[in-house]
Amino acid sequence: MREAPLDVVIRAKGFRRGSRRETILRDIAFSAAPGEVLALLAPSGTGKTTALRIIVGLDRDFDGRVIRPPGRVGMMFQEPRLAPWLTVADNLRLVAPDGHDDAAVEAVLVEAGLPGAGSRHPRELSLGMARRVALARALCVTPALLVLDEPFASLDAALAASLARSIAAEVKRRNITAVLTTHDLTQALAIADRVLVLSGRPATLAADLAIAPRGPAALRGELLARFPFLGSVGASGSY
Amino acid sequence: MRPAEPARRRAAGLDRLLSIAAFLLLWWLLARTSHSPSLLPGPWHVLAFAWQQTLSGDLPRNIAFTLARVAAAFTLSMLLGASVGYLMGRSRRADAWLDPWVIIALNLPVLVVVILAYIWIGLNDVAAVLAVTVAKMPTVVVTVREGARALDPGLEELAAVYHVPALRRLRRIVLPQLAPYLAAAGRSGLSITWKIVLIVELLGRPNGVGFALNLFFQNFNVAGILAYGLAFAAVMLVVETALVQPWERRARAWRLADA
Repeated sequence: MREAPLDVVIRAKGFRRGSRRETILRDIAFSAAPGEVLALLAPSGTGKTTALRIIVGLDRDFDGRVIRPPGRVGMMFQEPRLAPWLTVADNLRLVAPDGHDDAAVEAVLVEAGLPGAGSRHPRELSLGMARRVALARALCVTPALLVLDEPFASLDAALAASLARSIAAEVKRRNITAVLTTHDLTQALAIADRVLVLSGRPATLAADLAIAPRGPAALRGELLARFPFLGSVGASGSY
Repeated sequence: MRPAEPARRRAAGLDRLLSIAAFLLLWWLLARTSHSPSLLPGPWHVLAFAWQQTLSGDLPRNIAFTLARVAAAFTLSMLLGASVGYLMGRSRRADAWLDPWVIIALNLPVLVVVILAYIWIGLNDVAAVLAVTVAKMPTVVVTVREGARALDPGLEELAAVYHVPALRRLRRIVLPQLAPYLAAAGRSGLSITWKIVLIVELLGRPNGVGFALNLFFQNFNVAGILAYGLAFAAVMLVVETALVQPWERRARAWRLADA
């Protein structure tokens, strides 16, 4: 590990379901270096989103610790979460540091493939565009840590691939640590440096594999053999 | 059905005018048939009285006093009520603590509040405005509390993750969501406020529409009562249509566009 890694240890995360308390995450520990992209793979309902909420600090009710790289956090939630009463540019300015002028906002939008979209309202955007705005918003805080929850869900394959390319390019260019969840193995292998698989109940870290040494194709075969559920979803992930 | 819209609006406008004309006609007929003209003076008589009071300056002066009290009490009750309502909507503990107070305040007769304010604070404008504020505030609290409970938790998490500064959070995330509730509270609030202000003036102020009404009551001047009552209602109608309704439309604009 180089300077200022992301360091996550979740010994146990409980959830109150009715009157009894159920453990949903157990013994999950990993780190990530700046510029590294981790893909968190798991079947639906395993607690991927909970893990991300713990990583960004929205959920503090767990046993363990999270050390985030110093700097700001950019997050893409599963839904775009844009304020409908604000224009796209104002949605970006909402989170941007003070003094982010129109030119800076437009520059971020151009990077995200949305030139000239600043004056539009979220209701005028397609889901794919709204996701891009959410990505632009996450990037305009110049984050040290970027967390993406199912960024490709319910997008068609072409759109998902183009969004994945934008994310990968930005992360490498700015040396951002990135963690994303997906249940789409193809996208995970396309964008990530490492693949983490959660499985079981409570979910534990069942695999933590770097893609580079084996190559995506070989790793794909290995993962599908070990975790058949990874092959059960379509090309771009659906619920 | 867009092309039919202006025609339909014109027809509705005509119906409104006819309705008002019918009311005036009925009033005039009742005044004609009533055995005592001082018990129910006709529309022209009332209008003449109002005109004379306007020329003498009494009517505008009293309306100005009342409007000033309405403005002060309305502003105070909206500011305090919205703050308390927001707090109660966000914090379960604050809600548990303050809810009984709100229920008592909602059910306390306005008259009791007014009399106690005059006894404790004195026969002055501070007491008058405070009494109206206290009487009006609970409904603002209840309405804004509803709005605060309905705030989008997703946007709140967003603000938390991105460390959006408190003031920006209030202006850009919270207030736009509360705006329809504030508009509703303001709209019902204004009509309640001016009615309470008249009672407060009647009980202990040397000027204002309520004071004038009391004077006319003691002199058995029905024309005066009708002239002041209708003139003031007309002024409040103008305030409502010129200020409150446009603001409410603006506050709801993004929601309507969404639907």
